[in-house]
Amino acid sequence: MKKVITLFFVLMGIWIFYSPFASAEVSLQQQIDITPANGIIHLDNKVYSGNIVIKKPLTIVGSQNTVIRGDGKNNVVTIQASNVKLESLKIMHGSINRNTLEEYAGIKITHANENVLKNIGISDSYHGVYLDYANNNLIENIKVTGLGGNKIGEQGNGIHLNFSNHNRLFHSKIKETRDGIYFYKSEGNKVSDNLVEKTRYGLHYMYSDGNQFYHNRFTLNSAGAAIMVSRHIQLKDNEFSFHEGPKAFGILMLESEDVQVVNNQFFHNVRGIYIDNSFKNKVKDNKFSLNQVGIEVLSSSNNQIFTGNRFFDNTAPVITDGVRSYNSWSDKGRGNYWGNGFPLSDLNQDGVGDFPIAYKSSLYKLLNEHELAYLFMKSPAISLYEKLGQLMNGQDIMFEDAYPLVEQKTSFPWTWMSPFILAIGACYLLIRRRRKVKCTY
Amino acid sequence: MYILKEWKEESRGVGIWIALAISCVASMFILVQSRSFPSEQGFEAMLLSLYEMNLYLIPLLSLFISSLSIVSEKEQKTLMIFLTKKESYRSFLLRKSIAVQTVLIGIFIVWNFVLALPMKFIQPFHLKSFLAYLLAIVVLLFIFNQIGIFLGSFCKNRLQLTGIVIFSWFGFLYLLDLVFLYLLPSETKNTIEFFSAFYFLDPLHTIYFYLENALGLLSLDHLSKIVQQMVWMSPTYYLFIILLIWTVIPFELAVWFNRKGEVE
Amino acid sequence: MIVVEGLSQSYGKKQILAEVNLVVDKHERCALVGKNGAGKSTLIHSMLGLLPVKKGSVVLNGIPVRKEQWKPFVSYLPEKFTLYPLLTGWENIEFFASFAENGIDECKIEKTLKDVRLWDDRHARVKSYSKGMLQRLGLAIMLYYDSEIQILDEPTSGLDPIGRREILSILQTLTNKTILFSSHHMEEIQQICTHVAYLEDGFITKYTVEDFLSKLEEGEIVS
Repeated sequence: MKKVITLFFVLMGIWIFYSPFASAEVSLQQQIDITPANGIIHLDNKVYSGNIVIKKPLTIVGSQNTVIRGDGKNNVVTIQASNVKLESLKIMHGSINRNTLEEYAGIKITHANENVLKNIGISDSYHGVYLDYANNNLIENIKVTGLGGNKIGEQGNGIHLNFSNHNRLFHSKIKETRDGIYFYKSEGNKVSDNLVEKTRYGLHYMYSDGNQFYHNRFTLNSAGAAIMVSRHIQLKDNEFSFHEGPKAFGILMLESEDVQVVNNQFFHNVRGIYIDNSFKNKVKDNKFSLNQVGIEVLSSSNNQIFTGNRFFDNTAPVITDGVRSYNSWSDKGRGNYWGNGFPLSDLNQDGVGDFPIAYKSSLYKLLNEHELAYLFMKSPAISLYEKLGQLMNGQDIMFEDAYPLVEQKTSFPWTWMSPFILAIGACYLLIRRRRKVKCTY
Repeated sequence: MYILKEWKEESRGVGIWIALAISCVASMFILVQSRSFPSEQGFEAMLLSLYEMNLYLIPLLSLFISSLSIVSEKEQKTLMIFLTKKESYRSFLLRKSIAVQTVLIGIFIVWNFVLALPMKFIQPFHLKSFLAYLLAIVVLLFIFNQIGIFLGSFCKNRLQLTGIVIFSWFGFLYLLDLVFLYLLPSETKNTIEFFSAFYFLDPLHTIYFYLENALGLLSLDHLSKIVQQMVWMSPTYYLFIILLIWTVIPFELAVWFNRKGEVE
Repeated sequence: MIVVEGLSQSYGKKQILAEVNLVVDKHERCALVGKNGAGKSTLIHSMLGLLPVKKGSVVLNGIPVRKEQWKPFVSYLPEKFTLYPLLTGWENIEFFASFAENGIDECKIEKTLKDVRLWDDRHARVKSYSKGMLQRLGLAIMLYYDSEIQILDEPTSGLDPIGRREILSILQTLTNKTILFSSHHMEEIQQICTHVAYLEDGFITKYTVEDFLSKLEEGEIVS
C-alpha cells in the first residue's frame, strides 16, 4: 500500500513539474539550428532571448515589434556565415564589458561576407554593429542608440569596421554612442545618407583608404569626422554642423592625402575643417557659414587646393599658425567666395574679382596658444582685437586668393516678406492716426 | 499705477518705437539669411543668430530707456513730489523698477511672439527652443534695465547719462572681452577657477552659454578638461545667480548713492 | 507745525546755512525770502529730507523729518517742475492722487480741476500746456492732497502778471493751512502771507509782513 501511495505521489510530481506540452516553444537559437541553409524564419511580435549565433546562410524577418534580447554577456547576434539577412528587428542588451579584448556588439559579423542588415534598431550594447574582417555587406536603415550623457565613454561605437572592405552603409541613424562610425584598415566602403549625432567623433577614421562618404549628416557631436593616416577618400554632399567645444571641428585631416572634400556644408562649427600634416587634398565647392573658423590649416600641411568654396559669416574664414605654407587658394583661375567681408569689384563680369585678396589676422596666435580663446570667438570684441592687431602690426597673412569669386546677388524674398512689411506699415499709420485723434480737444 | 503710467509714457514716446523698428529690420535680415540653414536644428541656429543680433541692440536700448526714465523723474521734479508725499527712495526705485521692467519686457515679449509668425514659414517651429530664446531675451533685458536704472539714479543730467550709457554698453560688449583676450595668455590651470568666476560674472557670457545649452547646440558631456574645470554648475543655475547679482547689486548701489548725495 | 533748529548745510567748504532756526506756527503763511543763491531751496530740501541733515533738526507736524510719518501731512510743489509731458492733465493728477491717503477720488479730481480752471483742458497732453496752465495743474495736485502743511518753491516763477494773479487767487483759497513758500515778489507776499522769513548769509530772521516791508523801505534789508 505504501508503495502504491509513493508511486502515486511520484507520478503526480512528474505530471505537475514536467509536461512535454509546457515547453513546446522552441528558442530562437534552436529555430536557427533547425532551419535549413538559405531558409527563412519569420518572427512574431514578441521578445526572443538571445544570444544567437548564425553559422549558415539564412534570412530572419521580424514583425513590427520583434525584439531579440541578449543576456548581457556576449554579442546579441553573431554572424559567422555569408548571405545572412536580418530584417525588421530590435536588438538589445548585449555585453557592455570593456575589460576584454572581445569587442561585443549588438550584431557582430565576423569573417563573413555578403550579409544584409536592414531595418534594425540596436540599443543597450557596447558596439551597435561590428564588422570584423567582413566584406561586401549591406547595412541599411539601422538605428543605433547609445547610452549618451556622461556614459558615452563607457561604450563602443555605432558601427565599427575593422579590416572590412567594400561594405555599404546606407540610411542609418546613430546617436549617443562613443564614436558614430569607426573605420580601421577598411577600404572601398560606401557610406551614404546616414545621420550621426551626439557622439564623440561622428566618424573616427584611421588607416583606411579609398572610401566614399556621400549625403551624410554629422551633427551635434564633439567632432564631426576625424580622418587620420588615410588616402583617396571622397567626402561629398555631407553636412557637418554644430560641433561646438573648444577643440571641435567639422572635419579633421591628419596625415592624410588625396582627400576630396566636395560640396559639403559646414555650418555652426568651431572649425569647419582642420588640416594638420596632410598633403594634396582638395577642398572644393563647400559652404562654410556661421563657423568660428572656416578652415584652420597648419604649416605642416602643403599642396592643398581650395577652390569654389563659399565663406559666409564666419568669425575668421581661415586661420593658419602664422608660418608660411604652400597651399593654393585657387584652381585653374577659380578661387573662392569670401563673403561681404571682402568687397570686390568685377568690372568685366566674368565672376572673378578684379584684384587678388589677402586676409590678415592676429587671432591665430591667441587661438594657437590658448584653448579658451575659442570661448570669445563669438564676441563682438574680436573685431576690435583684430583692429588693434592691425594697428600694432601684429597680423600675419592667412591666405592670398589670386582669383576671388564674386557672388551673384540674391533677391530679397518679397513674396512672403511683403505681408509683414505691409502689416508693420499699417500699424504705424494706425498709431499716427490715433495720436492725431487724441490730440483734438 | 506706476506700471500704467510707465506704459503710457513709453508708448507715447518715440524711443521704444524706434527701438522696435530697428529690431524689426534687423530681425528680418536674420530671418532672410536663415532660409539657407539646414532644416534640422536650423530653427535653433536661427534663434541663436537672432539673439546675437539682439546682443548689440537690447543692452543699448534698455540702458537708454530705463536710465532716461529715472533721469526724467529727476528733471521733471516728479521725484521730489514722490519723496515728500509717500515714498522713500528705496520704495520709489522698487516700484519704478517693476514698472520699467514690466513695460519693456512686456513689449519685447509681444514683439517676439509677432516675430514667431514669419519664423514658422522659414524653419520647423520648436516651442521649447523658442521659449528658451525668449527667456534669454527677458533675462538680458531685465539685467540691462536694472543697470540702466542704476545709471539713471547715479547721473544728474541727460548729457552725463548719454556718455555713461554709451561707455557702459561699449564696456560690456567690447572692453570686458578685450581685457579677457589680452589676459588669456597669462591664464594657467591654477587660475582657471578665478577666470571662470569673472567669465560667468559677465551676463553676456552666461546668458549665451545658457541659451546654447538650452537649444541643444552645446552639450556639457563632451567638454575638454580645461573647459570642464571652468564649468562647474548647470547653465540654469549660472543664469539664476547672475540674474540675482545683477538685479540686487545695481539696485542697492542706486539706493546707497542716493543716500549719500542730494536729490536734485 | 514747522520747527527748524540749528540747521547747518554746506557744499564742500562753502557754508550755505549756518545754525538756521525757524518756527512756522499752525495756519501761519510764511514767505521765504532771500537773494538768488542765498540757500532757500537748500533750506526747503533739508526741511523735507531731500538733503541729508548732518547738523540740526527739523520737525514737521511734531514728527522728526528723519522718520517717514510726517509725509501724509505735507505737500511740496517744487520749482520748475514739468510733471509728465506725455500724459494728459487728468492722467497726471490721477497718478499723483494715487499717493494720497484716501487714494483716487474722481469726483475730488474733477472739483480740483474745476477750481484751477483746467477742467476743459484735462484731456490735453501736458506738453501742450502753457506755463500758467502747468503751474495750475501743480497747484491742483496740492489742492487734491489738501495737506495741513503746504510748501511751495517759487510757485509764480516765470509767469506773466496774469498767470501770477491766477496762481495767487488759488493760493488765497487755501484756508486753515500752514504755508511756506519762497518768492521774490513783494506784492504776492503782501497778498498771501502773514510772515516773512528772511534768509541772508546763512541765517534766518523772521518778521511779520508789515515789519519786513518797513525795513525794506528803510533800506535795512536789500531784497
